[in-house]
Amino acid sequence: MELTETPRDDGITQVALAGKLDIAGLHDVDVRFHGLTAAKKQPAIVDMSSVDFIASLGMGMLISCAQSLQRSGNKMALYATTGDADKALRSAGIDQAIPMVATEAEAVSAVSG
Amino acid sequence: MIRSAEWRIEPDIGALADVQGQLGGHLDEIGVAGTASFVINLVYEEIGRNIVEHAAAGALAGHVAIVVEHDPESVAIIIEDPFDPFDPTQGSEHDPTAPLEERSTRGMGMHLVQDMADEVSYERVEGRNRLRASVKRS
Repeated sequence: MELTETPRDDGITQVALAGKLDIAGLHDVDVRFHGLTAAKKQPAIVDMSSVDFIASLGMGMLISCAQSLQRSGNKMALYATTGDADKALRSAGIDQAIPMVATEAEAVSAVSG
Repeated sequence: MIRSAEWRIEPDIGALADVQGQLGGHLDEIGVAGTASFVINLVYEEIGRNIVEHAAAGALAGHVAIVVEHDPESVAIIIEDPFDPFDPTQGSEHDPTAPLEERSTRGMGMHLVQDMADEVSYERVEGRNRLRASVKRS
């Protein structure tokens, strides 16, 4: 599992997850993901286009960070989820708690204001 | 169905992760891809983690058995453990509509297993929990 950050100059954190967010994958990125999102206390958008596996453990990481951001008055949005990962996220109702949108632009809009 | 792979592990998260990698390789070998591979991996992770968490809380010892069976139309995973009776098919306390501030992952794994697999069955056999989940090949 890979985690990368794309620098922005608008006060929004942009990160991308890629690969399998399974037991081993989560171990690789959990602490860094929290550091790049929740710890920064600013809006965050997460590119999910290259995530090809996620289960409740990975969803818990997303929820935990989104909750932490909410407590600091900020929002998180996921964008470009695809295939079975998208289906699993929606089955668990993650889209009811964290905005799940198609594009980066929509994600920026979802976390702004 | 053909029994194509079997593992026996201690209820340990490291062992679970190791076998998860081997499971993925095995599914590739038998031509299971796409949604079927996703679902089998998801069932493995959710049930396996649940067993490890409950085993850690109890005093029983024993191994966890994981079996893969397949035929031209579908693939199944069977997971057995010797711990306290637990039937994952008996509903889930997960609420997919709860707002963010009320969210937890409690019950989410069992919800996903029941929703994503085509068939899920449970039985208690000779003091062991036995869960079987199957999905049609993609």
